[in-house]
Amino acid sequence: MLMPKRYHIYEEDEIVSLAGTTADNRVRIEEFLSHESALLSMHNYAAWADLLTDDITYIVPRRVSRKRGRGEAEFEELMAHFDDNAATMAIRIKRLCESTALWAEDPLSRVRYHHSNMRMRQLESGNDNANEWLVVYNLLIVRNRGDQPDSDLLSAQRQDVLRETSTGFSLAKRLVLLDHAVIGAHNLSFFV
Amino acid sequence: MDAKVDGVDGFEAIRQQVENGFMPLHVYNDQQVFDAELRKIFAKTWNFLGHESEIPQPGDYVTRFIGPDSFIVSRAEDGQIRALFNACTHRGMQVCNNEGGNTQEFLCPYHGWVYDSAGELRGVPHQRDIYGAEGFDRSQNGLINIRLANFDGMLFGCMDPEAESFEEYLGDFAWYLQLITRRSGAGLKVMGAPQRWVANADWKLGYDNFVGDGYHTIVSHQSALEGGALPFEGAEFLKYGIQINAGKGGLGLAEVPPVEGGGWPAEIFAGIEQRLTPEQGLIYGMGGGPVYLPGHGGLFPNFSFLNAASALEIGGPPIPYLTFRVWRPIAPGRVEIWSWCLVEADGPPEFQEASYRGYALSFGASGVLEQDDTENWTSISLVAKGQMAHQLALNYTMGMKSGVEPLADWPGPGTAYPTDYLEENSRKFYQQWITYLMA
Repeated sequence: MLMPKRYHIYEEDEIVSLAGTTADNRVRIEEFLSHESALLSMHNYAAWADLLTDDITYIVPRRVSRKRGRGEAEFEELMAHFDDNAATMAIRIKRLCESTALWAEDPLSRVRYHHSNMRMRQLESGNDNANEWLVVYNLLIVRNRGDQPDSDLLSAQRQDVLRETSTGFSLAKRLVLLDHAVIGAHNLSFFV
Repeated sequence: MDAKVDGVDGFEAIRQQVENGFMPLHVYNDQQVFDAELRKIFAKTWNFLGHESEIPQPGDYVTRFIGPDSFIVSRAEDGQIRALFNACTHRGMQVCNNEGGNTQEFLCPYHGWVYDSAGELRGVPHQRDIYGAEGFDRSQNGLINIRLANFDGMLFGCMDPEAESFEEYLGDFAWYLQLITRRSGAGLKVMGAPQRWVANADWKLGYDNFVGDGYHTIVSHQSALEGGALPFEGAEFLKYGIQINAGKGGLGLAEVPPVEGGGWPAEIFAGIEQRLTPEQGLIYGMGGGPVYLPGHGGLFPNFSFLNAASALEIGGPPIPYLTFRVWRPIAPGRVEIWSWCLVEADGPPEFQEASYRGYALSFGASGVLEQDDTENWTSISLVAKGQMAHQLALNYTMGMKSGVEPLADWPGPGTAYPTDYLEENSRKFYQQWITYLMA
């Protein structure tokens, strides 16, 4: 697969080496991600923003359906459903926290984040003050809203980089590799 | 649709309402209207398929749609771009079931008929044995070519061999599209593949909004202003804009915020006086007047564009971006939205990336503006399915009795009005729509 340059997709042979994480670290990382997703489900974006590093990159690239076996890129480098850094994330969060005109989220969506098949390892990119962890896992988002009987489903693999300092974990990178070329929801008024 | 509005008589009743500035609500979610739209509009008109920069190399192709019909837009070995009906001439199976790539051949997986990237049939397994030495002419069994037009890199296809040429179809609207396509000497290029997502909304609502609804911005997009994506004091700038209809298209212009060059790097405009007429140049302030964004508009039936601006940080300057749209009809009250981001091909890479990121923040399914747009259109289409939708005719009369007059000294073709809080472009759209349905 051709690799985009603006972000790195960890291939399975890199991910499979994510062995040897102690049970203690696994529990701490799983608890952090459960807390982080709970804040999103609660629409508590002010608290959620505190979990992001100042150099956060948050990218949900456009998946393209390709003929198998040709090695053509399945994710676009410069087209994404989200392509945010701390500055644009601040705009999204200010809007969500302060606007009185959030029509797409009134009533609020009920968004549930399901994590599974989680693998992790410490990266060499850390330093004396911070450890960095790569966490790769499956994501299933179920969004229901209002009195509609049908729910939106989004299925993906997340590749997160968490940074751990003396004050705990924060999210430094989030790459969301959607299973969808065409999004089956009328909007993404929530984070994926 | 009930009997009294069915068929030509029914469309005549709709035509009279449209003439008076009203639009029956049920037409946004009505099986018979939808079927007529596919047959009498989408099969007869020129439809946007993509941009030539999506397929720069021989063998490159993308798969595109006009309603339910699928086409392979392919650049063959001869460099020529064609739009090939994506159906094997033997049994009708799609010969391409992915979104794009590069290939020398399209193989039908059913019986193995093989077509090249020009659509010529190159191979039929056991041909001589089963059809006879003289019994089969491969040259008569290639993929169907539909008509294709290339306007400054914009590719339009038409399924009707009898319809007018693209130039005739486009008419006076060319003057306005050139403002966008000829801003830079190198033209436009796409930033990746178009985003695609679906909504339970009628295709007409997206087009209507982009071609003529300056009025919704301040309410629908208040949150984008409050969050800082729209770096302006208020969202009423389109009230003081200009609305124009010309030929089969329409657009709205807004004066750009007071930043150098409207936010574009100056080098993009180098030599623009060679590419635009002096009258076109007035739009970009070449006569010393204000600089306008050729902000929002569309070409009948379902191509739209938006040339707006977004901040990339709270309090930051507006960065212009450009998106092209196709509102692909899927079913009554259901649309697939195709959204491209384009930049000037010779612009500085850092500007191209910033422009793309401003687009991605503001538009697309997650856009801080667009997520509220699809909310509106979904709600309207839900209401349109009910029986009361046959009793409610929507009020599209804005500007009919306000005394607003066309600008007498407007330098361009068509009719221009001194405000973009006006439903003239919407009325023109629905007049074209009902004219096609009754043809």
